[in-house]
Formats: sequence, structure tokens, C-alpha cells
Amino acid sequence: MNNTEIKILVVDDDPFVRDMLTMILEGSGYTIVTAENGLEALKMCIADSDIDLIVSDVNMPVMDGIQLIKEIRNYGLDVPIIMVTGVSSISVAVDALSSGAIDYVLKDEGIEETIIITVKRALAKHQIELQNKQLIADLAAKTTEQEYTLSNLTAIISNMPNGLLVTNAQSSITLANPAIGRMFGVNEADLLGKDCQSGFAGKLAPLFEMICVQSDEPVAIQMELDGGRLGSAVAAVIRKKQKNSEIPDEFIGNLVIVRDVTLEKEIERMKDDFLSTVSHELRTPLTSVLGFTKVIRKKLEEVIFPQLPSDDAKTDRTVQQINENIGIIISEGERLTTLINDVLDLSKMEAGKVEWKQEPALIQEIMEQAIAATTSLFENKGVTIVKDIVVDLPCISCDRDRIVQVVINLLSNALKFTDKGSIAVMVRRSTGNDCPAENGHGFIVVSIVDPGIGIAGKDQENVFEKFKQVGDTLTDRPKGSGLGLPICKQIVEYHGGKIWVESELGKGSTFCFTLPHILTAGMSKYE
Amino acid sequence: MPKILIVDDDPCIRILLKQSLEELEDEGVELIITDNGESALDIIKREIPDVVFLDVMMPKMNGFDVCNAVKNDPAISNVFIVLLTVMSQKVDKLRGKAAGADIYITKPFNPDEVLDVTRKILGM
Ligand SMILES: Nc1ncnc2c1ncn2[C@@H]1O[C@H](COP(=O)(O)OP(=O)(O)OP(=O)(O)O)[C@@H](O)[C@H]1O
Ligand SMILES: [Mg+2]
Repeated sequence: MNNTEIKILVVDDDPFVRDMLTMILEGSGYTIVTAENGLEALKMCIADSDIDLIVSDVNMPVMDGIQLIKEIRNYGLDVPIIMVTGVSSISVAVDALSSGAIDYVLKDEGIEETIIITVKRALAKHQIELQNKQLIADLAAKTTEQEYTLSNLTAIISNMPNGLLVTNAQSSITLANPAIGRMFGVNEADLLGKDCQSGFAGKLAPLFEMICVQSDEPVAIQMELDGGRLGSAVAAVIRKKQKNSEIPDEFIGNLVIVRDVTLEKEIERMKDDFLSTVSHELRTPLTSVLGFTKVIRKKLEEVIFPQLPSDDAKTDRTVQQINENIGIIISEGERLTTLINDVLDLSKMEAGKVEWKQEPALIQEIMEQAIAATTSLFENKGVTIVKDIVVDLPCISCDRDRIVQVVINLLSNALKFTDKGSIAVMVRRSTGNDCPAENGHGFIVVSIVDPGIGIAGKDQENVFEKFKQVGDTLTDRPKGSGLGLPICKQIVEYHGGKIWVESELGKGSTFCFTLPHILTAGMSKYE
Repeated sequence: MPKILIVDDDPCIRILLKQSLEELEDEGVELIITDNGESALDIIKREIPDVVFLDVMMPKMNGFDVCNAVKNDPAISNVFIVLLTVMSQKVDKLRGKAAGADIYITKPFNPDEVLDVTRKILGM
């Protein structure tokens, strides 16, 4: 700061001293204002906040220097004050300092120099004091802010409806919130300091076990909570980021979050009940419709038709029509049955409600079974099947019936959209380009190639969606409901495979799906 | 002469089963029909039928329960039970197996199949 910007108030009842001090200080470039006594000085300070320093006499009429210091401080002003005292009155100087003067100067021979030095020092000291004050204020603000954040976090954790349990790197519990206490009917404070490794009896035992697993993949389990409720717990490792990004994150413990899923389970159960009721309510009348129609057909064929005159054209036509109509009622009824089965099947799969089997199976056998199931359909339509199945394929682990279901779906689609020619069924090992081996698995690829109507490029991604039937569905709506492929997709993806279509409109389609097989040492070199 | 018991809470299904088995009735087989699980159990104990067509979903006592009761009572455990289920889910079949049903027929069923199956069971 330039000295002229620094305003000093000189206070002395002796005009001579005032002028002298003014002269000396102005000589150093300071801006000077003056007052004759303490009261006048005080008024000036109150009116003008720009005064940076006061240089004041002690003994003055109306208000002396010591009183001035006190009053200044009373008003909450922190202007530094230098006391100018007579040589004889050192004790007064001490008084002044203890009252809050920043320094003092003796009215002495060398006052010209000492006053300049003292002013400089006082200004510097005051500056530092100001900075310190600022620092302290900043620190206090930071501390308050952190305390606020911390108390907010604590409040959040305590009010969280989910249970939270945190352990340190030595697996002893460092945090347990009230929710966890409520969920397990314990006092959460009693959990602090407990060692998870040493095990725990009671309902919390599964939590302790899972927290000790310390796997980087989050682990999830379901468990019973207090009062017969159901909880779902997820454990995760806590790693702290290091300032230096080169250093790996520091492992500081584990955490488990427990959620009360009683209501969700209840809703899920209600949905299941609803679905099975609906399926029951739909199938019962369908049973009557289909069953009675079949009874009627049989009676007509066995009892009524034989009694009709066989040489009458009109009767012949009527009999033929009745047969056709009954055939339609039956096949539409059966279609409705399949639709109900498919809707239920798909919604169960989507809800993760299907109980999947996992058993080793040979893809060759699965293909044979699916082909056998569709042979009569193929024969009826005069379309042939050409098999191209690589020998010596590795075993796959799967729900066999479900994979058969996929192949049957794809075969019947291929047949449905093909009028003549032959449909090729191919199975081979993945070459690695279309689906590279991952996680120690290799893949086998099943392809079903038909020379049928094909699927336009824009439609190809839609066919795996529910109820999507593509092409000119108005004039040429395919039989079926558009659930076959979505079901295939669910099944294949459940097994860790992919399903896709390659097709050209008018030229035919190729539906492919992959299934993983476990690599064995001898086999891996082929992958 | 053999006796067949039909148990279903739905009147149409009862008629359908009766008509499906009409041929056997003509050949002298006795058809007994009831609409709930409780009376079914009473009839089974009293009449000891050769075959029971038993619906699963019925109010009060369901088919699984009737089946369980029959298979756990040595006096009637030989009665052949055909569970009529609308559930094709494997879990439900397992539940039926656990209850001791001899075979299943899922609804909708084919009347001719019902007849064939019954003939086989009765050896007729
Ligand atoms: N091989 C194919 N060639 C041409 N179009 C096909 C072929 N396979 C499927 N599609 C198209 O994809 C649609 C969806 O097939 P998806 O199997 O899901 O249902 P759907 O066969 O119509 O009925 P569902 O299988 O439920 O009886 C079909 O309606 C058809 O438009
Ligand atoms: Mg289909």
C-alpha cells in the first residue's frame, strides 16, 4: 500500500507537538488528520472508518489517551493506537499497552526517527493481526461448515430407512445406524467395536459372514429380520481414493446395506397369485370349449354323419363345412392356450421366477429331439430339414427342455415363413470372430437357415420384442402371437448366450444363437 | 365293476369328464361325481373308487390336500389319482408328485386322451 493511502490521526492538545508529528509523518508520505483531545479523536474515528492508525498523547483535557483507547474498543473499532508519552512516565506507557495500545513512543530527542519506525512497525503488526484474525475466522467458518456437513451426514445415516453397518479393515464394526438396530431387534450401540470375524449368533450372523467375504464384487443375500420381516442385504468393499493416483486405493473396510423387502415380496406374491388365478380362470372355460368341441366332433363323426345320405351334394358340402369350422374352433382354442402359456412363461422368466435346471447336455441330442418334435409339421408342408452338425462338440450345461423349446420355436418359425425348399440346421464351435471366448467359456453356435420370405433390415431388431410381428401384418398376418422369439431370447440370455438374425427380404433368414460351454484343456486350442 | 370318481368345482368340466368317460359307463363302469374336496375324501373312503379325477384348484380343500390325505391313509392309498391341473409349471408338478399323485393331466385336456388313459389304468 502506498503511504499516501494510509491515513493517520494525530491527537495532542499541544499544537506544537501536533504540528511536529504531522510534519514528520507527512514527510514520510502519510496522510494526516488531527484532533485536540480524546473525545474529538473518538468522534472522528466513528465518522471516518478510513483511519488506519492513531498516534495519541496521553494527558489531554476532556478525554485522555487511555480513555480514548477504551472508548475506541468499546465502539468495536480495531484501529491500532500508538501512545506518545513523556520520558518520565514509563508506567503510563505500560498502562497504555495493557489497555490495548499497539506500541508507544517517548517524547524524546530521537522522536523523529522512532515515530517513523514505530508507525511502520505498528502498521505491519496490525496488518499481521488482521490477517491472523481473518485466518482464524476462515478456520472457524470451515470448522462450522464441516461440523454442519458431519452432523448432516450423521443425521442422514441415522434417519436412513435402510440399515447400514460399516467395519474397518480389521473387520470390527465402526458404524451401525438405528435402522439396523430396529431391523434386527438389537441396540445398534452394542454392535460398535464387535469383531465380525469372531462370528455372531442370532439373526445378524449372515450379515457378519457376508461382510467378511470382502469380495470386490458386491455380494447380496436375503435374510430374515426381526418380527418375521424379510431383508435384502448387499455388502461392498470400501476403498479410499489416494491423492496420488499412482497409488492403489486404500482398503479401509466393508459395508452392508440392508433393505426391508417385505412389502415388495408381498406385492410380488400378489402378482404371482394374480397370474395363476388368471391362468386358472382362463384355462377352465378353454377346457370346456376345446373339450366339448372335440366331443361334438367325435359324436358327429361316429354317430350323426354316418346316418346322412351320402349321395346328396348339399349334405356333403355341409358336412365338409362343419368339419372345417370345428377344426377352426379347435385350432384357435389351442392357439389361445399356447398364448396363455407363453404369456405366463414369459412373465415368469422376466420376473426371475422360473426354476432353471443346470445339467450337462449334448447339443446333438437337443437338436435331434427338437427336430423329431417338428418332423410331422415339416412333412405336412413338404419342406425338408438338412442337418449339418459338427461331430465331437463339447458338452454344455443347460436347462435341456428350455433349449429344446428354443430350437422348436426357431424351427417352427422357419417353417411358418417358408413354402418350399429346405431348411438347414447347423451347429459348430464359435470361430471367435462373431463371439470371442470370455470368462473361460467357449461358445457353440446354432444356426437355422431358411429360404423363406425374409425380414426387412429395419424389422430385424424388432422381432425379438414381445407381440411384434413384422412384414405386411394387415394382409398377411402370421399365425401366432409374437411371443416365440422373446421367449427364445430370455432363455438364451439366461444361459449366457446371444441370439440374433441375419436376413434379406425375399431371400430367407438365418437365426443364430450361442451357448457357452466350459473349456477343457484339450479343447481350448480349437477356440 | 370299477368305479370312477370325478371331482371338480366347475360344472362344465364335470359334464365334460362324464361325457369323455361315457363309453366306459356304457360298459358298466360306475361314475360318481362331486364338486368339492371334502366330499371327495368322504366318497373315496366309503366307495374306494378305482380312479379319481381330481381338480387341483378348489375352494376349501384343494386337490393337493385331498391327494395327500388319500396317499397317507393305508386303507385308501391304493386309489389311483389323476390330478387335473391348469399349471404346466414344473414346480407345480413337483408339488403334485410330493402329494403322491399317480399322474397328471393338464387342462385343457383332450377327452379322447382321458378315455385312453382311463382304459389303460382299468385294463379295459
Ligand atoms: N424365419 C422367419 N422368417 C421370416 N420372418 C420371421 C421368421 N421368424 C420370425 N419372423 C418374424 O418375426 C415375428 C415374431 O416371431 P415370433 O416367433 O416371436 O412370433 P410368431 O411366430 O408370430 O408367434 P408365436 O411364436 O408366438 O406363435 C414373426 O411374426 C415374423 O414376422
Ligand atoms: Mg414363432
